[in-house]
Amino acid sequence: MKTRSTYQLISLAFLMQMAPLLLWTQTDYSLHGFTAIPQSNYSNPANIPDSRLSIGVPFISSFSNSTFNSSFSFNDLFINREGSDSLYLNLSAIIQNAEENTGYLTEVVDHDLLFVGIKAGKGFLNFGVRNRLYIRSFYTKDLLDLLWNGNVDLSGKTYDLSKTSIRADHFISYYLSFAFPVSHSVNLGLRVNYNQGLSNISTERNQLSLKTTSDPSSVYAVAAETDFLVNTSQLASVTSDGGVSLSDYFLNFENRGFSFDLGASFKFSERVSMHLSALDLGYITWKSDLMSYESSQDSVYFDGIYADITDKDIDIFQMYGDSLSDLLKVSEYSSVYMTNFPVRIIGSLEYYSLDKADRLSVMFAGRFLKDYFEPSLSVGYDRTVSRHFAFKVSYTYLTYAPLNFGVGMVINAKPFQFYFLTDNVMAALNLSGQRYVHFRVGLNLIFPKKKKKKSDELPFGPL
Amino acid sequence: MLLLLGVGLSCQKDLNKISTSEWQPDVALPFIQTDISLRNLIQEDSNLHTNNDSLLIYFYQKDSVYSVGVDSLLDLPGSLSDTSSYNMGPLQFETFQIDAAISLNHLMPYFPEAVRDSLEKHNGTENIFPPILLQHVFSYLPEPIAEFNFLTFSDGSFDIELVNNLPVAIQYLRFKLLDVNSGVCLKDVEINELMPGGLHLEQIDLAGQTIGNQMGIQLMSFSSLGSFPETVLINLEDNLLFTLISEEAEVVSGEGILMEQIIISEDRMVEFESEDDAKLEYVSFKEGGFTYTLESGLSVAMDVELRLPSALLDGEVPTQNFHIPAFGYHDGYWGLDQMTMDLSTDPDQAYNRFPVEMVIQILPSSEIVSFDADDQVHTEFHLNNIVFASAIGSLGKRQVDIPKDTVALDLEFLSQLQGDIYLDQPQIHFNYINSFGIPLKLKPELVGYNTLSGASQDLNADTAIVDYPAEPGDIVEGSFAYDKTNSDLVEVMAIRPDQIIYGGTGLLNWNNETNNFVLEDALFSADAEFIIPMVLKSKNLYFTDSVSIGKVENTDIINNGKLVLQVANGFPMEMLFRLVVPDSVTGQILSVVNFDLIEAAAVDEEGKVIGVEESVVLANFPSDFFASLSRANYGLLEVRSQTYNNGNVPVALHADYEMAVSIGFEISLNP
Repeated sequence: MKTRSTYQLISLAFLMQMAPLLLWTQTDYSLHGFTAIPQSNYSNPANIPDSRLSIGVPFISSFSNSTFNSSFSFNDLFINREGSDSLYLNLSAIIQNAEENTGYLTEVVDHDLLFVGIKAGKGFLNFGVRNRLYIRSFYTKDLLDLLWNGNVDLSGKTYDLSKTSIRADHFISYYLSFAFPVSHSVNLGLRVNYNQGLSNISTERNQLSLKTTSDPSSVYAVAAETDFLVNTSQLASVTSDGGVSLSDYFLNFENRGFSFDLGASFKFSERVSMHLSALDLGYITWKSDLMSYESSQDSVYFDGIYADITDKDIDIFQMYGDSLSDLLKVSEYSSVYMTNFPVRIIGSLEYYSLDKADRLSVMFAGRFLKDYFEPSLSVGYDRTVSRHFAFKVSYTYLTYAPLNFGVGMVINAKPFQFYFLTDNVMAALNLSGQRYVHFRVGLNLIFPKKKKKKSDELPFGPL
Repeated sequence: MLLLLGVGLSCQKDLNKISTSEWQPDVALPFIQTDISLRNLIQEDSNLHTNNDSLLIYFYQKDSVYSVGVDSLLDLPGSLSDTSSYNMGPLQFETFQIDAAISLNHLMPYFPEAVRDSLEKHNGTENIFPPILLQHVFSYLPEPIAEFNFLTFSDGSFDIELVNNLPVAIQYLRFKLLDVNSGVCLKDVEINELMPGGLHLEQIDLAGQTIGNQMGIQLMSFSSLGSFPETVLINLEDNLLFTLISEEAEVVSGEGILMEQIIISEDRMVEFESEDDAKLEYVSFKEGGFTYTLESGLSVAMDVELRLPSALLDGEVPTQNFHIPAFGYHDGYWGLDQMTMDLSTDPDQAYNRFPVEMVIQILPSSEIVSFDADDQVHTEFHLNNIVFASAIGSLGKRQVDIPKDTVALDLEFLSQLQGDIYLDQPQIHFNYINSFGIPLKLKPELVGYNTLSGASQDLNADTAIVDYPAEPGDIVEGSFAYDKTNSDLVEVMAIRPDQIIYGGTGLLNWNNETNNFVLEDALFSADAEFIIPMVLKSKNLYFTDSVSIGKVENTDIINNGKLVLQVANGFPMEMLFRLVVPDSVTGQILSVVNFDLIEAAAVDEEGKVIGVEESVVLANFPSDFFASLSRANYGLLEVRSQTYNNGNVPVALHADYEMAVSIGFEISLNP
């Protein structure tokens, strides 16, 4: 029963990363350029939505979840047993079939607490509060191999764990954004975020590796590089026995930072435009409830303890345990540190139909993840069917998850606007088989702008 | 909405399917590296030593295994019983004297009348003394001798002194001394002339004579020519004075007043009769008594002095004085404790004899007593409960028994091992000191017992000759040893004795030596040294050790595992380990782990290891092993072993043997 519950917890945790209900998004490919949704301004601050006034229904105006795992899906992790409909955890195939030595798992949560957007002249003023979670974790094939198979490989193999790292930021952004045209064909946008850091864990340094050998002097010997440094903020409180109250957690303003989102839109013609943006240019300085974990030694070598087993006064197991404890000494200390956000860059080309109801877009996005750049390419088509309904379909290519067919829709029922987007519709049909899961849903109050000439109107007309 | 619902249902369904995992990573970790020396393997034992070439030698010493004291050697059965009678013998009799003054008055009736008248007329005047002539025999009876009634003399004389106290010479005096009682004439004396004032001596030999106490003097004839023409003072009291004095009278019987005198003074040799033909010349006593009885047949009391002239007690000759009344007796006792005695003073037999000097002195009788020289004093001498403290002489050729005793043999290291062990070179050394001047041939009787198994084995040791000192006071040290060449010691050790019952017999003077000495506090004491070089062979050695198991939790995370041991065995023994885990409450065996065989190191012809034997030993822990740890608080490590070459070759155990063991373990986890 314990086994069942353990796996269920693991599975649930995994699914939590991938379940559409939780609405976390990685890059929101479907959202980009879908100006019917005011929150499309998130991917390019220069975007000016169609509506005159947009008010997100607090807490439910935008829920987004995005999870991406480069190496495996749920079905890759849990496989059927022959003759049984049970699922069991199996990393063997993942380890064997891994295309790269390093995989990564990212998870992004974007949750609007408050969203207000106002047309200000020709520009668009937007302010709000976003509850955001960035998790980026890297793992190596050697780590999976080590966890799954253990270290009994005595061929001299070194398990390289140095690429393993984690970076998680939970913060609330208080932002003010303004998009404005600088010319007929150029819009610029700037979002300034005041970031309230809530909790963080970040691997500052990791040189971990492990090698198990056997030689005449010792049956086994374990040599490991152990240099690492992991900084945390608020993690100790959260994981402590008493935990931390929600108010203490969410009302902690000691961790502060700023970030900027920049955007630009270039209209080459009435039907072709290009959009560029750079997002999450910023940092947070972590100061509260700090705990850094740093290894005491850069390397260790353990070939057992030396003991006289004939001495009855010696507790060998105690001695062994103490040796292991001494081996894995980690110093803990408090030190202020700063983290930067992974910068996203987005570039897209759009082609409109003559009536501006149809739009083709090609989007290139990328995210800088420490020592890795995560690129992606998305092609989309959206159509404004009527003032009440618009939809979008897309195809997004992600490295390690090349087939992602997205779909989105916007339903306007004055003044309410409900929207739903997913970059990978297959997640709904075969969630456990997907490496990339994305979902965004929300409810806004939209007050359209006054009617103008059609040529001036964006494809999604007034309500 | 439908899409969301579909995803939700899909999640729920998937979660319900997950039930098991085959995630069982295998973890390999080093555990212990240890070097086990043979010295450490054999638990601390103060009796285990290392010699110069590191050979382990078990050394166990027991003091005074054999201890023979003076009591045992001088347990000389024998007796002394001496009875004698002593005649009183002739006695010296005190000088007695009879004075008889025969005056003119006494003789007047026996003179002619004219003479009588003349003498009477001129009595007291100066006048011419008339010639006199005794006309008849005159008898004179002096007073009886008060000192006796009659005596029979064996020696002595009666001296007769006659002094003419008359104023005129007398001529032709003849007198007889008579024993009035017997009428015997003791002496008939004729004197031709005796001048006035003159002395005449006569002597009577008393030897063989029996004389009563009433003497008589008969003047048979007596005359004098007178003093004419001289005038003399005529006094009728003038006399012829007879003095009879005994000289050195020695009597053998009679009735008389005896005077104080020593009647018996004698050194009598009494003899200790040894049953073992011991010829003792000089002894000291630890215990015992000299009893004596004197019974007097004398009519007079006597004082007795007994001395043991050849003995010393506190530096002085033992002497006892006591009084025996007439016809009385006396029982006496002489404690011999601390007494030394020379038993060699008799030139006829310079051993086993000692003089008893006895002086009996009769006391003066206050009255006339009847006595006879044949009156006797009876003596009895006995020696009782003799325990010698020392002796010089010959103790005879005899056997002494050494009392049995038991010694616990604390071969702790052997007690830890079960199985057959044949120690190839055990030795017992008996190191002794001997201050007995007696040749001794010792036959140890030694039996080893194993009180647990009930097995016993006799040592069957050869006889050993013990050195002995040549001179009194010397102490010699020596030793004799037993090993497999002269005893069954190997067989004794094979039964792992925890007890040795030992005793033995000794043959004294086995070489017919006659010059022995056993001084006080002399001792033969032998310490036993068990010297057991650890050279052994064994085919089925077995020992167990308990291994404590602490509280073990979360064992269900471990599926199974194994220990991997790299062993460089420098011990000349192959070993097979087995770990048994019993239930700490019921004792039921919960799990067993078997180890592969550890090969023995090879040895040379002397049994010494010539190189290590390397082997890789695996011990697989079954799936129930780790679960069993939660129900056990100890494990039993069983070791079966045999020496090199299947236990057929003796191997020498050196302290510097080492076994290097490197242990690692592989466990299959079930997270």
